[in-house]
Amino acid sequence: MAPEDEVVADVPGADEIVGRLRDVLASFAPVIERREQWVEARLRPAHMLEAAKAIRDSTLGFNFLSYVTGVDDPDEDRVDVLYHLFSTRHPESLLLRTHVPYESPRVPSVTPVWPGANWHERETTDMFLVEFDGHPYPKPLLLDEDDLRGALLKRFPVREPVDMRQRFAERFVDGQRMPFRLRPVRPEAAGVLSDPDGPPAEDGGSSPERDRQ
Amino acid sequence: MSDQTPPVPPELLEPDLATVEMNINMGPQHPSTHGVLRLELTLDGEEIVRAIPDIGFLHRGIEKICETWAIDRAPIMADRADYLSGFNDELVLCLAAERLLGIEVPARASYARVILAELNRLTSHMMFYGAFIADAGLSTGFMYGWILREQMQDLFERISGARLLHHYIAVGGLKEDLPQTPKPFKDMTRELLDQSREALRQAEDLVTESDFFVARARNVNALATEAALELGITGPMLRATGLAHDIRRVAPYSRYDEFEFEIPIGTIGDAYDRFTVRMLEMRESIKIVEQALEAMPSEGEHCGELPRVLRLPDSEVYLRTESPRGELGVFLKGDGNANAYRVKLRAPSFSHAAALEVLLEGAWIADSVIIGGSTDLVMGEVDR
Repeated sequence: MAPEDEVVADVPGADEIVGRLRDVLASFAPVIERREQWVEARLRPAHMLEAAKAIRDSTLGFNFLSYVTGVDDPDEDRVDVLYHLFSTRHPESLLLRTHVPYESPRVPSVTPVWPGANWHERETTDMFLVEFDGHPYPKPLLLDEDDLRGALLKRFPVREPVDMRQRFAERFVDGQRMPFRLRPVRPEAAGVLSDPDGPPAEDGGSSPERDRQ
Repeated sequence: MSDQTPPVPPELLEPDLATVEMNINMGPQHPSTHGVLRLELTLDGEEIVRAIPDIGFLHRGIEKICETWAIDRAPIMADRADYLSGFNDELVLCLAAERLLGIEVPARASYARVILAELNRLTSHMMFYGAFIADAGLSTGFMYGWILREQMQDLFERISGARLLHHYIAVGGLKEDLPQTPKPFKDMTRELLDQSREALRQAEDLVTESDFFVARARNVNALATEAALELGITGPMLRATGLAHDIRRVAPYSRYDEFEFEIPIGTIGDAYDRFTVRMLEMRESIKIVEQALEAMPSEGEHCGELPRVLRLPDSEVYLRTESPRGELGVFLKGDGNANAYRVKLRAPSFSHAAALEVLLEGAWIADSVIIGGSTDLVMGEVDR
């Protein structure tokens, strides 16, 4: 698409955007605020998908979703979910906010409207345990270890380093128990899948215990 | 290539040949997946029917760590995200913190930051050049990319002590002033710019005289602007589709509005356009560094006034910059403490890796390497 085709006539300022936004989102009873850096609209979680459609189909000009993320709010037992929209036609931005309570952290996925939200929502699920209903592939993205899910919540502490060799001594791969040997191995033993705590080699092959001495 | 292949003579076709779709793994260790990216590919012969990217191998919890450290230490973790352009990572986090804290960066530091960020763009794009051209099969080009990188990293080492993870751009300006030994910084940088022009010339010559490189990248994965925006694609990949969208122009930071530079764009957004856009951007980066060297005061503070007790106010900011890969942004929320309440790194490669699922569908497996290479992913910022 050549740059000449870009419509530059309609470049609304922030006040204009606030006005149009009130009309566009009227049926969702949002709380709209003009912040220093962006226009902010707080919505109910159930309205997110319809509001997304209304914004996309409007003349507001927000054609780019930059990110979706969560912000933990333990004082209110809820997680704020943020959607930050930008435009390639004007310099204003729109931050959509909603919040979901810990006991039922569900919000409709906006992937039908903004396909780019796909991985952002999966990451928010990993980090904040927010569930996005209707997501096309709601599988873990960055954290597939069960005890790490919800890592960015404030109740999840920053812990002492974990010896990952012990953690990965056994993994389930496709329902099969696969022992992984994550220790230095003698070249002739490399690739052999055996009991990771098997007997040490008679000739004194390498092992972390041996190497540390 | 497919439209130039002559049709198979009918007597050679075997219509009864039974075929099966194959599920294979590409990565996470593979010479052509740049970084630890795993692609679960479903193949029908040579054609990719479905590609599912699997990430997380390099996840280190950078955001959580930044939320536990005082904000003036946080840039140390940031440059482990996009490790090929560390100055850009540090810069975006520092700019966000300075915005929240209301700190003014002195002129000398501002210009120095622009110089470092643009030199970083050069090293990053030369890395892309080397890797991409080697992926296409022109292995000679790989080392062409590294020559300039090594020369620049020597300068970075003089400046910050480190070739890659610099820890140099700090909240308020720079951690320490620019080096004046063995030669004044401006002289060393101008020499580097001369070396850059020569390296760029050689790099471009290699490509323009190579028909087969062009054939490998031309018309591969053409992308429309609308589709790119829907997928969250920014940076050179977006500009290759024809849209002149550059954060340095749209939302200037750190004195970028003082410099004259062009924004190269492509036409059809294919792999060759993405490559060309980055090559042209390198020329513009050289121009910016020249202008910044002229404008930078030879004397002055290298760091602004920081409050004795560092406390982030109870407010939020989202600061976006144009990294070599696209829109690199930081959402920073303070709550009155020295450490931020929430640090969200918006990494361009995150959206580009996600887009691979769409971009690779229907491509030849041989082109998957070209397409993946043309996105210029850095897994450090995909996983954080």
